[in-house]
Amino acid sequence: MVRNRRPSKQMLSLLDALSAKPHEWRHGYDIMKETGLLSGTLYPLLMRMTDQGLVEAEWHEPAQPGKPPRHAYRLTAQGLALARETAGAPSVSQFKEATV
Amino acid sequence: MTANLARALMTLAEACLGGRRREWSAAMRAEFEFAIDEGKPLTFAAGCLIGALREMPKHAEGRFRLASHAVVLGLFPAAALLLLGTATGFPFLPSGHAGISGWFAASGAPAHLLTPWNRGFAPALAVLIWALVAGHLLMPWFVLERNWDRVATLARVNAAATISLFLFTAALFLDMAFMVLPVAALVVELSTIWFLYQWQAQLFTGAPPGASPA
Repeated sequence: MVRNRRPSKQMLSLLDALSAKPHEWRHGYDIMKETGLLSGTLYPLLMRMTDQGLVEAEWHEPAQPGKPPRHAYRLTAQGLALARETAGAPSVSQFKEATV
Repeated sequence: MTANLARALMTLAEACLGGRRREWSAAMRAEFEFAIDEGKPLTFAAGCLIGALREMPKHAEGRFRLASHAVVLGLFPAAALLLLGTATGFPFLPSGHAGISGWFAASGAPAHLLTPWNRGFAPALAVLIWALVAGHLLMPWFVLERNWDRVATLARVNAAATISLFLFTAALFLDMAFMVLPVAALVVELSTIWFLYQWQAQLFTGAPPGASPA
């Protein structure tokens, strides 16, 4: 069931980070370092946003030998639209209702 | 030590996410390797576990797993009470008092429930009770493994042990009040297990024991 609710501060931070280079695939640990989100916040958020069609994910072969394949993420067109809609909003109270 | 603890937490987080989120478990596991390189495996793993736990109530499989653990934790006190009973003497619940009412009122006069002629049966009854305790202690593991063949077998053994205890108690003219706890434990155990079985049958149709839905 899709609910209308305001994006959380964490979600805005993630949208902001992913929309900076919208066509670039990003890895979870790199997003954590950039946004300051902890793994316990980032992964549930990524799962939810992927379920909602805001984020797409795919597996990438490891850049270093001996490392496992990595899951990479980027915004979908819908996610990018939401990121642009919420970009620059200084406070949560000014957010429009968004389908997230 | 820290890395091992972090790996254990990651394994727990993956188990909490279940089959529905297998891909995300693998994603977290892959990033965990980079957290190790950065020297922060424990923070990363603890976060993953917290995130996974928070996800559990949001989907049917997670709710089933939470309910299974709650039921399992609920079964332990019954077994512990029976075990405590055997430690305080036989018959266990109203030990040293005249029946269960005396035990609750703490005012019953001490009564020797085993008479010289039926005292010889005490070891057999004690063995039965210990078998029942062992059965109740084993049951939670089988339930968590969703090994329903073993659960069914153990349920039959526990039921048989309880009925035997009941018959022995009646035949030896012992105080029947002390059967309240084993019978209640069996009824609670069987009814909750049946409920869980029905629930998992809906969730994991066709899946082998211990498997997660695709």
